[in-house]
Amino acid sequence: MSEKLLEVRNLNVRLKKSGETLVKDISFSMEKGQTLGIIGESGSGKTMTGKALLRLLNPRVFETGGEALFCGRNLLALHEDEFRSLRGKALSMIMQNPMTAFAPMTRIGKQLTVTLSAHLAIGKKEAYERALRALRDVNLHQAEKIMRSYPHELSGGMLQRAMIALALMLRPKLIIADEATSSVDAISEEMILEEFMKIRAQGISLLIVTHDFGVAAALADHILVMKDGCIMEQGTARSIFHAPRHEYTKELMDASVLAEVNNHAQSF
Amino acid sequence: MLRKIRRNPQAMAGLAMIAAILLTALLAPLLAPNDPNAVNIANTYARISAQYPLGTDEMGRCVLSRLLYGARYSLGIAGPTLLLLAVFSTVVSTACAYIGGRTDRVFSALCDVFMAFPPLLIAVTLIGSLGQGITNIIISIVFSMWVWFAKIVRTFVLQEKNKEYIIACRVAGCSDLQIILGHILPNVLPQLIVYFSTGVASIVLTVSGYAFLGFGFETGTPEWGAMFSKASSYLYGHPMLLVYPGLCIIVTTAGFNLFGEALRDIISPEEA
Repeated sequence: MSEKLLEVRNLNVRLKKSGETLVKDISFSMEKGQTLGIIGESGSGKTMTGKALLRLLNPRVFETGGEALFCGRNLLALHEDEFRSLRGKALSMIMQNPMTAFAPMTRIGKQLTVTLSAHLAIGKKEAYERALRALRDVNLHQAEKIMRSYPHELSGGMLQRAMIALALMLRPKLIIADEATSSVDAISEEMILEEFMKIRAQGISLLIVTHDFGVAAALADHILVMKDGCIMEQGTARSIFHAPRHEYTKELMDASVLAEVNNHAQSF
Repeated sequence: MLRKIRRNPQAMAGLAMIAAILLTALLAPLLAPNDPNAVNIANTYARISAQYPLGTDEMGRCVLSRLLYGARYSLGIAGPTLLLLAVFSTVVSTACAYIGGRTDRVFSALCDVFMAFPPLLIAVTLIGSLGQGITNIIISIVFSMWVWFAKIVRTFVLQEKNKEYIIACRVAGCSDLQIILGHILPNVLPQLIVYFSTGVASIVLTVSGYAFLGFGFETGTPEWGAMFSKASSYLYGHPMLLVYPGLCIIVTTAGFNLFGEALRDIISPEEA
């Protein structure tokens, strides 16, 4: 039997002020090395779920309940210091917009090395070498130049790969990718998908939040379909794509196919 | 960094002006042709001459010598005051804005209370209770002006802390201190430098306001603000007595502003 990496039980996210529930008692689990895709339309609660797992929701605005057992430890109940040591090292995230996910006034190299130094007791030179290797591993060949660059000097695709390098540097057990391909062009998307394939091959678990069925189909072993904060359907990628049971999943797939056809039509 | 400063004409112009004022302050005893406090009632409002290159004032004192010595007092007050103001308001505002929630609300309310009183009123109250003297003048200026700086710092920090890269830093496991020192401050500092540089003129003029109320330096001290303030009484008869200290204040302020703006351009990569 495969080992459980993440087990989410009755996760719910509620707006404190209005009392509105945005994520409603959802439960799912992930095994080690598995790739789980969360699909849904905008406002379905998929990003909220990812952020809740990483405790990125402002506690003054949101109230999070339920359990999220990561390697047996409840992420939602861990002490802040303990949780911080997990972030980056065991749990990582790839943000939606690479252009805004790097500090604009700090060189890429420094941003990578600072993250390494925050977790590992290594010197500056060692951190620099590791960061350089991480950039080369994601096919950024001019790694030295990229290390010296500011974010605005790089393209969206390069920045997204730099972010993947940043996420991978500390060899996390789980990476949450929130719409990681939605802000880049088609060529960069393909390159990023290739990087995700490599991450999968390394045995790192991926939780992919996307509204793009193509991305989910290319990467996910399991799919979770969300609507209005609830799970509509979940199962293996094959079962969801070939025999969707829920009407909403069918509608979503039809809409996705329609969008794809429209995109192709516009390109002619 | 130094190479970038050398290559930036605006930075060099600003630095040259600051250096000129600093050198004047340092070398005042060597450069001054006369004793700045030597009163000569028989020679008031003297015209420009070899002995008095910029003439004399209403007490017959050498204007040039007073201006040269004045650099010491004006910069001696403006420099430490600005440094204290910048450090105090940056530290307090950044901490409160970053923590947010109730802490920030209380801090903001405190700022509003301070802002409700005119700075001069706060300063006069403080000097009245602390007594005169250069240290007390600095303390009173810091207390009367810090809130204006603090509000600006708070605005910049609030804008910055909600940006996506800060979330990315948290995801990467950076501590709050690492985020503040490594990311928020370097990103807000360029704008702050420009704003802080404008404080030099305000401080010099505030000190002159104190002199006018009798709270500043002792009467007769050759300080630009006091000279400017005193000369305003003779605006129509002897306008140059107003122009000289005014020019000194303008040059100092312009020097700091030019250098501050250039420094912002130098350390802001997207604007370089």
